[in-house]
Amino acid sequence: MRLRVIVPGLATTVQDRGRLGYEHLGVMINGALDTRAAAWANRQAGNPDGAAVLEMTLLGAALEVLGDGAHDVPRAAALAGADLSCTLNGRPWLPGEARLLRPGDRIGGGSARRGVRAYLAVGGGIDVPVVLGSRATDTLATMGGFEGRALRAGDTLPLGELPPEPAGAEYARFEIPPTLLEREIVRALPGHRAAGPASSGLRRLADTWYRVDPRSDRVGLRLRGPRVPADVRGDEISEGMAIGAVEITSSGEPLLLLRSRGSIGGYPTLAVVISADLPVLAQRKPGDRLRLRLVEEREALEAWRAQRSVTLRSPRWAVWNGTLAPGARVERGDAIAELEVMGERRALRTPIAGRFMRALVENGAGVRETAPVCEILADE
Amino acid sequence: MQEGPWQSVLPVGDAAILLEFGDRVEIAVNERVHRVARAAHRLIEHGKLPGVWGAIPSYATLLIEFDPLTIERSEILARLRTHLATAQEETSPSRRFLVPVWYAGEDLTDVAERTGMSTDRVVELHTSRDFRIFTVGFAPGQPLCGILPDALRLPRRGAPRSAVPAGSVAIAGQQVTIYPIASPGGWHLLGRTPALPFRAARRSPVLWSPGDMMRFYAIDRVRYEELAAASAAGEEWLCASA
Repeated sequence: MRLRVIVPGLATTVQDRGRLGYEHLGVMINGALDTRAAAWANRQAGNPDGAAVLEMTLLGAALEVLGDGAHDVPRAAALAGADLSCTLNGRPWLPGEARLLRPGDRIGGGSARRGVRAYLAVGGGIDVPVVLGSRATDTLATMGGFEGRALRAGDTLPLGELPPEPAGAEYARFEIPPTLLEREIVRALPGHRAAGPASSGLRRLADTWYRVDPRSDRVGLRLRGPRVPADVRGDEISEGMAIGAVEITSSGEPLLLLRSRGSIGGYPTLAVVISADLPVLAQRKPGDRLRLRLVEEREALEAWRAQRSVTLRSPRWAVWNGTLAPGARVERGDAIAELEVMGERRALRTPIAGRFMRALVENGAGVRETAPVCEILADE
Repeated sequence: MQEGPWQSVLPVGDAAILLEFGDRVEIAVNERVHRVARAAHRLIEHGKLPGVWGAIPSYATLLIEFDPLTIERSEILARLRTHLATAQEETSPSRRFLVPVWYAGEDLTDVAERTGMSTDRVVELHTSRDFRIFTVGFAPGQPLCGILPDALRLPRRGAPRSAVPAGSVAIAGQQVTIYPIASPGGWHLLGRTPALPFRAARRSPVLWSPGDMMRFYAIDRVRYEELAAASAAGEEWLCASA
């Protein structure tokens, strides 16, 4: 099975977890900017977290599913992250939903209703060549992904071998918490180049509502607002730049570094966005409001631990809550369970027509796990 | 707990630390940086720094990136110290690269004006000495070199360009660089080289390593275009001399 691009969208690229281990050669990491949403999509499609997905930005792509002949089996696919008005064969396909793809299916995309970046994961992953250990597209260095560039109409993407588990959860739907897509405040720690916690630059930075500048991209978010006073030290010698670093340019403009940032930079780091809030930055678009809130390191680590643990425990398949008897009927739309998804509890609505779920009901096993799963609470 | 070849250890957010070896561009300082960077990469390769996924050496600092849920800062430092105290160091001899530049950069005139020199004098100063590659970074294969003579030192531009052309040879402060790909940058552009510092398909993707020397020489536009065509055709014409 392959995916053919009919309409490419604005900046649709193949991404994975990123090109790690080559930063000392100046190679950017890249990879999905919203790592949380990409991992989530992969898990719903039955893939390992590192599988290559499509990252769509502000405008969804239109794709056609091509078959390779008699051996085609339907593949699980899932969307996560921004809501880019996507459809499958003309019917809405919302972020958080998994579907089965068959040859001839048409995936449609439109403008962003919420958030910026959406991730499409297909069982087996997008199988572009591995360059320096990764399939991530590096559009600046023109390598990785599909010919090192954003997708164009007519490109055909091969898919990888299917993982051994059966495709399932076709109809399970999980809402991706909107708080992440629409969050306007990100948490940060004081940077190592701030002149102490009382630095007037740091206070200005944390006291100001900024707007995301249109010149923002995968390298970084530029913030438009009051200039930050240059009371920082260490401007002279370039040094390694952390992802999430808030650099202050010589004109006093804050620049928040994302995963396509250069490995080394010379502007001083006044603050650093905490790991758990980096996905928020991926979902802010030009004109959106943004503000930094300084926190203690303890809070940063707690937030990261909470996000990582639920990311790791999120389901590869929907898991039956076990309260239904064999042969029981559940209508589409019935709430059958509550699912803890990345730290937030959500109602799980009927995943009922999929063969995988029906098999579960019939054999009465109640729970079928193929991977570490999240906590399921009975919906009393 | 912070004893080691580094002077200080600074937390950078919740998932990185910066080891500082000095506060200026200096060969001895930089050699200490790379000694620890090589140790870090060796440990990462052998799975002895679980959770550490990046180590970025620069002039006087080494940034180490890690997952704080897997490893703690003190553990990273302890393992580095143990390795440095026990492991044999292998070093390779320094090489020298002669790099052609077509001096017609966007900022050449501006640099001449701001330093009170003629453009010819700027070029002469830029081509009259060897520069040491202090580190490779920012973009793939990008050499960050020094030390620029005082007469050419200027602060970075007020607003960085969002796209500096590939091959640009640029200066800022004490530093000299080549932009291997079109990328954002705030340095002053003196000219352009047809050399390709990075090619993913090369057995060794980057031509040079920290500690190697680089010397620029001036070429004209015709020669630039010949060599750029050779680069585009995949020819490896730029070689190191011992």
